[in-house]
Amino acid sequence: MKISKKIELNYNISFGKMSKWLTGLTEGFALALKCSLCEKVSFPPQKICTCGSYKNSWIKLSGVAEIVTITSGLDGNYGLVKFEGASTLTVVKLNNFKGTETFGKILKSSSQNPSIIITPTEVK
Amino acid sequence: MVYVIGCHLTEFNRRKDGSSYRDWVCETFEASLAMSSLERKDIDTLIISNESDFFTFQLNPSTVIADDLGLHKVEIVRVEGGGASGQLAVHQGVKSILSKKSQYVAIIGFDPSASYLPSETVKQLYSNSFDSLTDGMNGVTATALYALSIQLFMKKTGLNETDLANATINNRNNALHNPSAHLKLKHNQQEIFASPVISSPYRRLHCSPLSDGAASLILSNKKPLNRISAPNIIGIGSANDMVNLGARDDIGEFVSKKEAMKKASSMAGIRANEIGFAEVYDAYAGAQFQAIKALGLSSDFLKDFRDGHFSLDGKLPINISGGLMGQGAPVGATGVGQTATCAMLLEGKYHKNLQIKNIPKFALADTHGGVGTLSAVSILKSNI
Repeated sequence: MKISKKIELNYNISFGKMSKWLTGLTEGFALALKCSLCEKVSFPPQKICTCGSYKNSWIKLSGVAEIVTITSGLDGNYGLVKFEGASTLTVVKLNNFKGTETFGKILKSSSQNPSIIITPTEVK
Repeated sequence: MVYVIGCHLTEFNRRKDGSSYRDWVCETFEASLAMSSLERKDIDTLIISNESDFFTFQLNPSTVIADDLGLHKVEIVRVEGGGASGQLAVHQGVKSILSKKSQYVAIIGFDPSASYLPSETVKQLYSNSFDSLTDGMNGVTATALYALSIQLFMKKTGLNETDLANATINNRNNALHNPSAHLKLKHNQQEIFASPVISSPYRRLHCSPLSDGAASLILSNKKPLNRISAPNIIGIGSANDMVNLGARDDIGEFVSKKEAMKKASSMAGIRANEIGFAEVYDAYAGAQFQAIKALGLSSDFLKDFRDGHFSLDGKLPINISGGLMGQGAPVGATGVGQTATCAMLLEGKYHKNLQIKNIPKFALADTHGGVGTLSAVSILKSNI
């Protein structure tokens, strides 16, 4: 015997300290956390730096990123990129990339789905 | 000492027979119990592993499973660590025995990853098994994240798409002789190169399937008289790396696995090059190479692979069962099943055409969750 059961989960998710970062994505800019001790800049932001310090401050990046590597196929187009000013790399969704581009710029994302999406840009 | 006195895997596949994960759990437990010659009342601890209540439609599954198994007034623990859940459950069992809190531990891993939910829904849920704030919001799939990682590994090591195809062929060839395997397929390179690209360089045939199934172990603090060849678990280790790929020191390498192996081999008092065969976590064809390198099983993994050393008749057989790519991957059962496979092989009780004739002294079971984010390994020793 089999039954089909459908449930709908309407989450009302709070993001605490990360709200600022997610709001930035919906407004089209990249907010990163800069460690007050070692000055490492993490994007996506890491609450505690790899140096162990939890003291940090928000900084706004230019939003331009250099492509490190990309993957494409039936699951969509994604890349590992280095945002200008960031010490870490970032996994991003690629919008309108053909595979030959070197740089991208962050796009404004939906307020209901704040995501890191970049679109090609010619100049750094 | 910790002895594996009972072990079993159900079939791993997509169930179409109307059976439930609760049936598979009963099937595997009864088989392990029979192998151990224990009675139900002897079990003092039940450890279960499954990845997600989304899959089972059952919160707190360990209690209903205990009822189904007729286990009462026992200690019950549920372990969850994504893809590593099963191996972490094995570790919990080992710790329970070594701490002298338990004498006979039943470990059961299971997941209905294939038949309960549509695969698109499972894919969406898996996006949230990375960081739901970042990768989850982006909708990036497990395949895409593994693809980004293997691309950097390929650039660094010279691993190429022909190697990915050959690893796929090898594992599925082994699965042909494993009656419990999900994908018993004989591939050729052309078929693999023609299969659709999911996330470059990964094609559909490079991916392990979502499977239904269960696996179990019974651990004991002493060797029963009728099971003098029962193997030991002599080393366990686990470690993590950053969830966000971009935040890692080395994105192409499975650093967590290296750390886990260091801990396990230190506990076992052996070196990685003493391992005689290994079941490693090949969620994707390339992940097998990343694992072999990180585990230190070879000083030149690419040459050893191309020379056939990891094949069934090689000097260090890898994924004799077919691995996740061939045997399948019911997530919570995977690590338990890998350890059970090692135990059976070390006791000379594995499937006829896959059993190694000259049984080595040591075997390794390697599991991870995420893209090598949380790794867990166990080292077993033969008593033959």
